[in-house]
Amino acid sequence: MLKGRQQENYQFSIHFDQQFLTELYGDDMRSAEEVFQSSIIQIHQELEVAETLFKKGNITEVRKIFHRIKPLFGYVGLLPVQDYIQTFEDNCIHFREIEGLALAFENLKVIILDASTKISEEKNRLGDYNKRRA
Amino acid sequence: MKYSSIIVEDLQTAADFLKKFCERSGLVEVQGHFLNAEDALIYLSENLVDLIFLDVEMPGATGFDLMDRLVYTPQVILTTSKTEYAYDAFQYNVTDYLKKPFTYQRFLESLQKVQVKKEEEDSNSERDHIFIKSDGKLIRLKNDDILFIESMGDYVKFVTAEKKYITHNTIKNLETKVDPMRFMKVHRSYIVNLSRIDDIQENSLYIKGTMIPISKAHKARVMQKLNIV
Repeated sequence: MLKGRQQENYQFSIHFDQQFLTELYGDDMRSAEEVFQSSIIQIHQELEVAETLFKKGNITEVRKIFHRIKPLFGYVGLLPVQDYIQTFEDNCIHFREIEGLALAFENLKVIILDASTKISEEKNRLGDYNKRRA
Repeated sequence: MKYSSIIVEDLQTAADFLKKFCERSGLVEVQGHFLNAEDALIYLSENLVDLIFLDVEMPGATGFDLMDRLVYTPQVILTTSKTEYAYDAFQYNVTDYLKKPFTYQRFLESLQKVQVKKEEEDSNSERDHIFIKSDGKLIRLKNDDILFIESMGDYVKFVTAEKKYITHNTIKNLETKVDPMRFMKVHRSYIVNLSRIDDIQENSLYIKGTMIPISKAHKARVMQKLNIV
């Protein structure tokens, strides 16, 4: 009986912090799916704006955008991405010119886009799981 | 009894989690969600709440700016994704500091702190005196005897008709410790005993010949509190 129940519980992919997500969502995988979905949309939208602002050299606003989206990576269980963003935020305060931040910005973009792909794949897995349980 | 609250948060996902946690606890009623401090201040100028869930960095004014401009002192739980604000949070005497994202369990711990603080405030307001540390001893001051309290940086001055006492404290902290029925903050540097006000002229009030400024942000509330016929 217990074994059967355990099999019903959703297991997040290895990249995601299973324990934290279980604490956050319990067994409400519909909420998890919604949050994953809305996070992907917001991350892409804000990243696009950040790129434009970065090209214009507006580091203050770029930092604010990353600060705003940082917790989203926590809500989807990719906690280390928050640390990368925090490091970039700190760099934004230390470096006032975009030249000093260009490489860090590109690196962060790669990390965020990779995370975004993982969130998207997990969102699809969650969707399939919720459909099966419907 | 439920705590009335508002959420001031520019990240919708974070606000949604908070709303769910409040609902699940059965202890907190969320009266509104505001995406920035300015909108929240407009609401707070006309509505009293027990508790504010407050983000720090938002578009425009920060959460600390909001606390500076509050004309009364509800409990505040800061919700932020940056730990560097902990020192400021302590200075502002906030009830708790939640780092986003946080779990429901951590949220409940915060609510326990709210409850403890509320009980402390309630018991303080029932007393007719306070104790202050001054000159190496604890001195009992009757509420009736205190004319006003003035900020002096990291210290405050308690002024009575007979004597002045200087003690290590802040106006922000004292605001929650004194009897709210009797005392009121009228300026970021002054708390006055309402029953000892002699007269008010424009943006100042007078107690035993001392002029005390009333800030623009506090004036409406001061006038409300006074028994004007």
